[in-house]
Amino acid sequence: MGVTKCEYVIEVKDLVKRFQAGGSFWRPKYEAIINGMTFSVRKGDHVAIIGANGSGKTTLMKILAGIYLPDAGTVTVHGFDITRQLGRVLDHLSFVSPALNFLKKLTLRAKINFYAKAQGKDPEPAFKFIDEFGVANMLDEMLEVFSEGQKAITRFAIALLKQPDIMLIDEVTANLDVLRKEKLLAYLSARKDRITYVIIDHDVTTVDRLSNKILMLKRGGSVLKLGDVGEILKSIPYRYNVDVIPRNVKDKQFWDDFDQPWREVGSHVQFICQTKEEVSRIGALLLDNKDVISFSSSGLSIEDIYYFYLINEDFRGSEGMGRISYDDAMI
Amino acid sequence: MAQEQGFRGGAWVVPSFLRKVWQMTLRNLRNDWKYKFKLLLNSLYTAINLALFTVLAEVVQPNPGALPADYEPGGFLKFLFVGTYFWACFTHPFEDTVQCLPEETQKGTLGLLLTQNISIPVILMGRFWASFIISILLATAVVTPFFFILDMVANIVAALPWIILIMASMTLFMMCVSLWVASFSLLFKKTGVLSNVFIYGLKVSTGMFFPIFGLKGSTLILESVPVASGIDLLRDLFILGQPVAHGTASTVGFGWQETAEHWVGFVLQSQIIGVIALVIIALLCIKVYVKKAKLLGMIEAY
Ligand SMILES: Nc1ncnc2c1ncn2[C@@H]1O[C@H](COP(=O)(O)OP(=O)(O)O)[C@@H](O)[C@H]1O
Ligand SMILES: [Mg+2]
Repeated sequence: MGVTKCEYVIEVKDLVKRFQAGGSFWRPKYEAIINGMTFSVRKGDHVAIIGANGSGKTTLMKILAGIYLPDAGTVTVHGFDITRQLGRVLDHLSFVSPALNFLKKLTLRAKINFYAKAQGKDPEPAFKFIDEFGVANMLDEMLEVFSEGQKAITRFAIALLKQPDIMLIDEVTANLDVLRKEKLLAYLSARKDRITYVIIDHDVTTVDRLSNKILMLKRGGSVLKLGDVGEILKSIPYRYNVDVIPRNVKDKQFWDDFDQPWREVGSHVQFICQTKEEVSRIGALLLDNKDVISFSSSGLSIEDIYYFYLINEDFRGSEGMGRISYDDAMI
Repeated sequence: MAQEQGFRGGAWVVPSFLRKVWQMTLRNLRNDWKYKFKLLLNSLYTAINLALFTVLAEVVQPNPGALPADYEPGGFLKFLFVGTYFWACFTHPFEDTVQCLPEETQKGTLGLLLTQNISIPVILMGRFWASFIISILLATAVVTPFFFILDMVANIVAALPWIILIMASMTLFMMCVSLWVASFSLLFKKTGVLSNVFIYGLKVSTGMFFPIFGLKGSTLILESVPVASGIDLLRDLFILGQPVAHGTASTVGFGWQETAEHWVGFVLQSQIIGVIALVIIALLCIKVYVKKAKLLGMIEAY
């Protein structure tokens, strides 16, 4: 569908979104969840939105999907203003989210037929999709018996009905089993030239496979950074990391004794290194350590963007940060 | 694409709107069909209403002149039955439509509908029409035997085109009222009391409980509510097969019911003005409240 009228697929300018947070009925207090956000997405960009919980990722998507209206600023999709021409925007944009549900007493077949006919589209591609993802045996079951994974497939089948050229995908892949997830990622990747993806996902693989740009949100609602994955990786002040799974929880001193910057990531610990020599040195020390179950070393990946920027934002200066200082890397 | 957009701006908008309403209607019908016990209870409710009104008409008689003399014999009972039939057709559509948005929100289904380009008016109309189709079928099934017993069937058949016309116009009016009241639920989640006030007021105005022409003076203005005038004309058609002049010397002051022609003219006028006014009010309220609800972030949050 050649909507080439406008340079940008999505353009967000000075967007502000406030929600009531406390206060009384007469004197409501408002909190800005998104505060002066500006960015744009061109054709060929596929954007992963990352940010701490509550940083407004879902809110941003809901504004793009027309569920919320901006308090200030403009949002255009293919040049159509989201507040005045929502109908046209929604003709080409699908929002896939676990927050969007179906009537549980209807069958999958009825559901797909309903959305296809309402859009004036052929339902066959959706049935084919359902079949391809191994849910065809559920066609005549009511949606109330569906597993979360099957619902996720259903959501994609419905979202694809209108042949969207923009898909907003909010943490939908989490409930899929490994095989289906792999299959879905391959399916979506193969359509990258036709569909612009905007995704929120905590899974690094998904982000890696579906996006080439990263939009980082700062808590309090503005853009921390928008850039190519490669570019953002370069802004991280180290080149390698050694990821360690310890046998049991060790105190700070234990890790400090390695004399290498480190950080806690869940139950793992990561040493971060500037040179291959540092990696080898840590590797040699770890190999002989009986308190280590396993370790692996790698160059930087999207995972590091999460760890570096998000942990940085959430826990800056907290105990978990070990000895590392990120200050010079801030934008 | 350019071509497609041209279509969107013009000829295709109305068909696509109607198509969506119809698909929503079918979806709701399918869903309602899963709750058969509820349908049974609804029919039972209508039957109980009819039974109670039979008792009422046995023990109570309206003032002379409140009903056209031609309605006799059994005029008051027939009068009440037509009103009951009408409200058996419209009570649930109204209530379901008013409850529709809070319910879809609670089920989490509203967001998907909205992002699939199915707008709030479409969702509400789809709800109204599904409930109306079910209600009119059930009510007609329950009431028809009574119409046979009361010997009204020949009249009904004779006046059928008029009956359908008046019913259609009142259906449009009731749809608009339902949409209007439903629009409040965009901003206030608990609108139960408000909707009760509305439906009670409408029921009174249509003479569900007593004939409006039994009233005196300016209270007669109630008769200009489209469903009030429409239903009184329906009664003429059901009971007599043709319209008759309404009222007595005390009500003739209003001028329109001196002859049957005046009366029909008045009814049609109230239908047209009422429906147009309500269409505008309902759509305007929905537009304004949807915008407000989207700004407040409460359109799909319960
Ligand atoms: N409809 C709403 N009404 C009020 N507050 C909201 C609404 N939606 C989101 N919020 C608030 O906005 C903040 C950001 O939410 P969200 O966008 O869901 O974050 P996330 O980045 O985790 O997806 C949260 O603090 C949430 O409480
Ligand atoms: Mg979220």
